[in-house]
Amino acid sequence: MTSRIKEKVFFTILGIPMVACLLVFFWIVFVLSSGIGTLSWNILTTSVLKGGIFEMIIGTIYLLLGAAGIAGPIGILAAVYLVEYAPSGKLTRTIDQAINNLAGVPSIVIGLFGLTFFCKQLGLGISLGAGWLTLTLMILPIVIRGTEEAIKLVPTSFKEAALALGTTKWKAISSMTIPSAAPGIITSVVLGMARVAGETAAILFTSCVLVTRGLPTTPLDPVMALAYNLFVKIVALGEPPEKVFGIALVLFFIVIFFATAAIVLRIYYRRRQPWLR
Amino acid sequence: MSRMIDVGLEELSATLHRMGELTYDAISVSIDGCLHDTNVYNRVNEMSDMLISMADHVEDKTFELISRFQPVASDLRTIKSYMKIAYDFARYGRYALDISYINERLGGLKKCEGWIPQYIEEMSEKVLHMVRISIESLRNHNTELAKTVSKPEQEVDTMYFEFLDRLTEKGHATSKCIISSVLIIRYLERIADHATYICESVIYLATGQKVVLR
Amino acid sequence: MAEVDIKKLNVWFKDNHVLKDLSFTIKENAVTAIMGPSGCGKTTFIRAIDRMNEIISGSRTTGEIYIDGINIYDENTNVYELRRKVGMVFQKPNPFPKSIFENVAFGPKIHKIANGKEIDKIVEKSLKEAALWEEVKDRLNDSAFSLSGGQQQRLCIARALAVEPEIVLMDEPCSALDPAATAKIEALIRELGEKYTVIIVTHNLQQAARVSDFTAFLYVGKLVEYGDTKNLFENPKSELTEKYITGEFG
Repeated sequence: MTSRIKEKVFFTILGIPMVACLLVFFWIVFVLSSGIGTLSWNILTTSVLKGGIFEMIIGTIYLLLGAAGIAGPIGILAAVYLVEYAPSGKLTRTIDQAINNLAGVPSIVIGLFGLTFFCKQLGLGISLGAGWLTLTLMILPIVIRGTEEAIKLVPTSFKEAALALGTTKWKAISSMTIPSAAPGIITSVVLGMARVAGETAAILFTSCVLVTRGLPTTPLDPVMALAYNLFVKIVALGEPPEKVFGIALVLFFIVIFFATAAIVLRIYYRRRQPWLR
Repeated sequence: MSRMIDVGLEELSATLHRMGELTYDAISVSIDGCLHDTNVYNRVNEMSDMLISMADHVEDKTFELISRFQPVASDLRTIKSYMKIAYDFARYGRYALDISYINERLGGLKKCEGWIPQYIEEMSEKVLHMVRISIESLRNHNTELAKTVSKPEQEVDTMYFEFLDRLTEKGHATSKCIISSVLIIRYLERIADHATYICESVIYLATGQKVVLR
Repeated sequence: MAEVDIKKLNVWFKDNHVLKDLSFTIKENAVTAIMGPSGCGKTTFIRAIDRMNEIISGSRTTGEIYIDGINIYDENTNVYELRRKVGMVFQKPNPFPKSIFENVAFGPKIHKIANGKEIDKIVEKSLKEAALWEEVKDRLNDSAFSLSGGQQQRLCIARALAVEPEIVLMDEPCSALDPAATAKIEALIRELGEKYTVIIVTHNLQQAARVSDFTAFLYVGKLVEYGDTKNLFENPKSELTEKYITGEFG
């Protein structure tokens, strides 16, 4: 076979999975689009008590923002420590491995842990706070991993030059490394949010109820969420899938929003990091 | 390990050696001509011209090596010395030519009073010996040999002044003889000086020290 | 403005004994070149002068280096102040990912040398000293990366000068630059040598010969010869030096 033909063959073979993904994506949208009928601006903004889904949307967003707000700083500082300060050795490698493993833990198991530890032992009960802490466990590996990678990509020459001028190690990192890695860090946080936006199992028994009276006012209040609602409606209440396509569509778009935001941010920030070219 | 500059340095060394042999010939031929009254001017002229063009070639070659290789340390000293020595060899040629020109214009020393040609022959032997030392010590960068030029240098100096004294004392020779012999002995003394310069350059080239052998 | 007196300096990286018993004195207000074949320890040596080897894990240093009579390896030494006094310019130009102005202002701000308008003056002075002011005075807020390689290196020099050092270390500052940029920086180095103690590492013999007043030749971590550049290049005392500079090895 000539090289030209070989090239074409491989190109096609490699292209097939990509096409398949696109097909699946659009098929999902197509299936869900039948739910468009059930949606309207009204529904989105009216309280559940009056037939809308407002609290579900806000609840999902509260969960996301809170979890990101906790996981973000912790993850970033942990990553900085692991890359810059931790002595290289068995202990550090073990910690690294543990973080990787955390990412692989089934979300239902994390939810169970959350129920036992946050809800019962810490006494938070089924609440927004417990949901935040549980979701943090899921976002953390993504943020730590992403921040580590972002920091490693920053040329050490910046830090070295700063140190040679007489800065302390922390000043060199905080004024050079972290700002330069910021794009990657922000992207990883957003990716983390995309990961947990549609998370059901983790919030299943840690923070959600079917209906709440108004929006949660303190972190100890339970919250409504789109994913939870979907699950309960189908499994517990036995409603036919078609009726909840509208809710699924909203959830779908929230996730897509975050995923797209991550991509857009990445492209925008690339321009400001010429050393990556 | 041979370096790129070594090729150039060897070529220079070979050229200088040829120049050395040529100058030795030029000087002995011109002295011979004086002592035996033979006409050697054209022959010596040819040799002198060749020496001048060889000296030019050495100068060009050393500049080329400098611009291409930026030599340092012993290489640099060698190149600097080679340039000087080429000039000294060309001077030998000039003096040889001047001697044979005297011979041509004023006639040889054969007809002069016995002691004069003898004296000049003795002195010219010493000078040729010094020239031989300068050529050989250059060939192998032999500093020990180069240092041996001091003794004959002093002897030639002494002979030079003694001759002038004797000449003024005796005063019998014809004016032609007086003028010829004084000029010839002057040129011989200069040749001896240049032989010493060459030996000093050999020591500088090999050790980096600037010595005075006079 | 400061003499650097090195006494029995030894540096190890894990088991590798990189610098062995170095002892010599670098004169102030002059340009000293450190030369030697790859791996002889030149970079390790100059990094020892501002204690930058400590950043690398597994490094160990014994011996003393006296700057202005004070041992910089003494326990009580303020490393950050040392690094202000001893500036460093690296092989590959490494400006910060900030504007030209911010690059030069970074050092003075960190050390609280000046505020507000004073900083502007310092930036201008440093850029002038580094022969870069005319080329950038109208675009101080542009990114440092918009400059050419040679300009970036001069910016790094300005950045080091902005904190008013006494000693300037340069690790092969021209090796990543083209001949024209190199010539500019070499001229700059000679000028700087009149005001600062400049120590430059180079593996380019001709550069060492062109630019320095004194030269030290290092070989496998040991000092082989140290002296006046003119004499060392015309008539080296050590045969090893002679072999190295005439190109028989290295």
